[in-house]
Amino acid sequence: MMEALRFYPEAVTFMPLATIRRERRLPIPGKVRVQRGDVVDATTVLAVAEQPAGVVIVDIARALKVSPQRAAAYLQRKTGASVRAQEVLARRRIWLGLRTLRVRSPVDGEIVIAAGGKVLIRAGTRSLELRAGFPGKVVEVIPDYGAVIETTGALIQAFWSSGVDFNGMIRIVTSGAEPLRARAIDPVAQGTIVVGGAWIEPGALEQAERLQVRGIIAGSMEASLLPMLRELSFPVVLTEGFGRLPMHPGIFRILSIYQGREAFVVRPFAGPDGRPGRPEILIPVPAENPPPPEPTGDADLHPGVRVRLLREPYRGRTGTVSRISPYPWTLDSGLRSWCAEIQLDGETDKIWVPVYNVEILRP
Amino acid sequence: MSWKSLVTIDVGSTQTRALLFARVEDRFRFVAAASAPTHLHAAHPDLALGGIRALEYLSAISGRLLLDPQGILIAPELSTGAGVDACLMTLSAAPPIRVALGGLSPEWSLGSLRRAAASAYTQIVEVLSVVPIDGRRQTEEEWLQALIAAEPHLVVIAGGMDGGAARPVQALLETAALAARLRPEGERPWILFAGNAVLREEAVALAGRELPLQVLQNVRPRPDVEHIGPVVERMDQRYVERALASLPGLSLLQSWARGEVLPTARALSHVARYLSLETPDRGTLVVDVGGNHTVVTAAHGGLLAQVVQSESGIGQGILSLYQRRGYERITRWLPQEVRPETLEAFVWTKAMHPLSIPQTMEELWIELAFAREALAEAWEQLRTLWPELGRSPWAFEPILLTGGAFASHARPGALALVALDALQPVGITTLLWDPVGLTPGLGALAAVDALLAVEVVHSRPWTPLATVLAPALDGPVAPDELLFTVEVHHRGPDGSESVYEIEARGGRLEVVPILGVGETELRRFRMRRPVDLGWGPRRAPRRIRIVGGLLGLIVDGRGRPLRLAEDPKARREQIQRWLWDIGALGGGL
Repeated sequence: MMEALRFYPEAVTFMPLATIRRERRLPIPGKVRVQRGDVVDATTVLAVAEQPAGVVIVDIARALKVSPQRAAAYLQRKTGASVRAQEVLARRRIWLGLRTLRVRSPVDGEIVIAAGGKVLIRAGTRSLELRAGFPGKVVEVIPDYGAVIETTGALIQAFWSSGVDFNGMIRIVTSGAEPLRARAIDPVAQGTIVVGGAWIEPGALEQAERLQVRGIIAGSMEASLLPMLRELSFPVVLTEGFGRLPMHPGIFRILSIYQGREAFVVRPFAGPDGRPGRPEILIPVPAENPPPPEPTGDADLHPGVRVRLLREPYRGRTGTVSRISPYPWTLDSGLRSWCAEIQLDGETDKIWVPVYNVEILRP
Repeated sequence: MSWKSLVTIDVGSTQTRALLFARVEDRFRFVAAASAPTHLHAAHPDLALGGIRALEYLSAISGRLLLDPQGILIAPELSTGAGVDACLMTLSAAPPIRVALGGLSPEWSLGSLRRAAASAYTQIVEVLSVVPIDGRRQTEEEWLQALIAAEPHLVVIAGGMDGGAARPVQALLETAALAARLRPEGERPWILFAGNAVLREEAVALAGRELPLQVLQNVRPRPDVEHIGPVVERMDQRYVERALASLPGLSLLQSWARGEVLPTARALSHVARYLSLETPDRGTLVVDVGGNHTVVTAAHGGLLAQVVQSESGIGQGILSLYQRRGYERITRWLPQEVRPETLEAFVWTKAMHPLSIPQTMEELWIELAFAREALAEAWEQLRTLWPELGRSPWAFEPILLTGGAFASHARPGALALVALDALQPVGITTLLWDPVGLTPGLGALAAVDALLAVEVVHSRPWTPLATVLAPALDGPVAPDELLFTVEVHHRGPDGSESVYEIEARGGRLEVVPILGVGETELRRFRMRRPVDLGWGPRRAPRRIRIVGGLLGLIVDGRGRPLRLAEDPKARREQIQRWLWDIGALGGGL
């Protein structure tokens, strides 16, 4: 008898109160501006890196009418020096000193290289600022790259987000798993994050734009609305996926509990494979001692685990694992896979689905 | 080397696959395979975890203990039979490296560099050409600005035949060196110089000690000579180096693999070369459709042509693939109507959850439609970059299907149809199937021990899927029009003989089961139209010996190029009929 195998599908977290630690890193090395123990807010700059924005090449050898090898002898400024526009870079006396050839810098900048008869001037830099994204405390500094920020509060891992990090007050506008329609968004929603319990109707996006909301959080949206999103001034966060899927009741419940509080939507940086991580909704809440648990580690699939189903014909449904098949099964599609038996919520029948067609819910 | 056993670990973008090879009854052969999620896209990515879990599964499946209590691979093999003598590793999980190419002209040096870049896990982020590409000549300053903005991991400069033009190539080199110096020390790109040999010393002097410059053989020393191998090799090295620096846990797996990590595409090219040795006059085609990469490799005589298409596949690459190919091209392969919203929801779900697999027939057809387009796109690119291969895979024998899209399946006819639709082979060929994904591991073995690899290849580790007979037609044919007839002669191991005649008809797929034992020959071709099976119109040898395989003989009378009905409803009926003909509908195996 083969030893029972353990399976580790992806896990998604939504917790009303947790300790949240998130690493915030620059993509390239820079200077870290915070220290361990610092209290930061969402806009605090944790670290800054500078990239060259543009360069100018000045061919001094040609201007001085000398070979590239000899040109270095006439340089007036060294590598690393700052120069201003029209400042002399190199000078050569000719005609027994009666006349002087001068080469001037065409721009303000810094000399980065002087070699081969040419001077390279970095004309300005582009700053890359890393902000905290949510309020918390610096618990670790990552030298040259950033910091680890810790806070306590609600954590919801969503499916997809259309834009950058943002924050705002939560405003629930639907009574439950109902689509987000234009009429649900009233003028009071201006400047808030509007939450709908199911999918977004196109009219709701137009209404939200008119009322200048800070963002929308909903269960799902038809992918055909993606081009429309590019025209909007606010981001959209989906918790379940594309199509017409209701928001998981557990997520809707957490957002309802914290209605009126400020939420921060943070998009984790791309992983080592270049794929962006799941967007996260953080709602900071002060916690009593001892601190609430931190959702960590891999969860394995075993009886009793709550799961959300990812593929048709059960996409978006939730249930509880009752057992794991001891051998791979051949599915209706013809593919073979180890499967888990799931008791779907609200149904008496059980179904079998491939072990990687579920994600574990960590509520 | 006298290994009794070894494991290979192929770290893919979605799955990490572990294979066990061992000497069994004096023959070194493939024993078992297992896979686990690569664990790259997690809160705490750790590729070692994916490798360890794959080895745990492999232990459970094979009954051989592979890991010690600390989770370390047991090597060499113990007297108890636990562990293995060696571990080899292949990798495709890392994102492609960013490459900038510089050369004299788009047709010559840059053409060669593009072929080199296509053969490795690269993304071309900038091309600097001395001869204007779009009619506009760029200044050195513009080259420099472009290189700074592109932030390449590797810059390759070529151009000039040996002893030919030097000054413009020197300017390219100077620009590459300047741009590299502008980057922080640890972030500088590698610079490869593979141009006019006259400039080699100058290139070394230009780089000094602070720039990582390597001088290689000129990619185009003469117009009729091309050497892209050394450039591809350095691209592979840079890819692995970047992966080791950026992918957590990879260095632990590397330590088990004695430091050798081979890009998966390179392993596939080793297998293609080996297979082509058996059919030197025909050549071999190896196609791999994975989660984020599609690789097509053709080996024929001394020629090796390969395209590694990144952001293409049935995992996370499906989103970019869909954006490039579009709704119409995907849905033309579907036997059912699928609305754009449904297809887009499918694409996003698959991209975000690449480990998930189709449960329903409808989703299977969608996934295989993407596999067709991934394969067709890479095949088109291969033919564009290596026009000497021709328009159609006339000669290749066999065609090997591997990768996640061709994983273990109870409907092999559906997989065969993917290859026939996307590659549209002409003539007679054999489809080999790799349902467990052993090809990268075998390629890794070929790289270190040729004799062992040959031993495994001779043990026929792949599943023969079908022999395909696909005539080229001289023009459109009416549906069901008779194209030719042929007799199938089978002699069983007991000497019994059977003969039956089959008819190839226009627009149809005919599948004839062939017994796996005994010998089968095709005889007495009677051409009713001037069809070409690879020997010229209306011509065929008196006898052709064939192997049957899982499906048998497929006679593809649909013509080349494949003509799909323009009316969507008629086209869906056409696809349904072909799926039915090839046995992909119904209960499966």
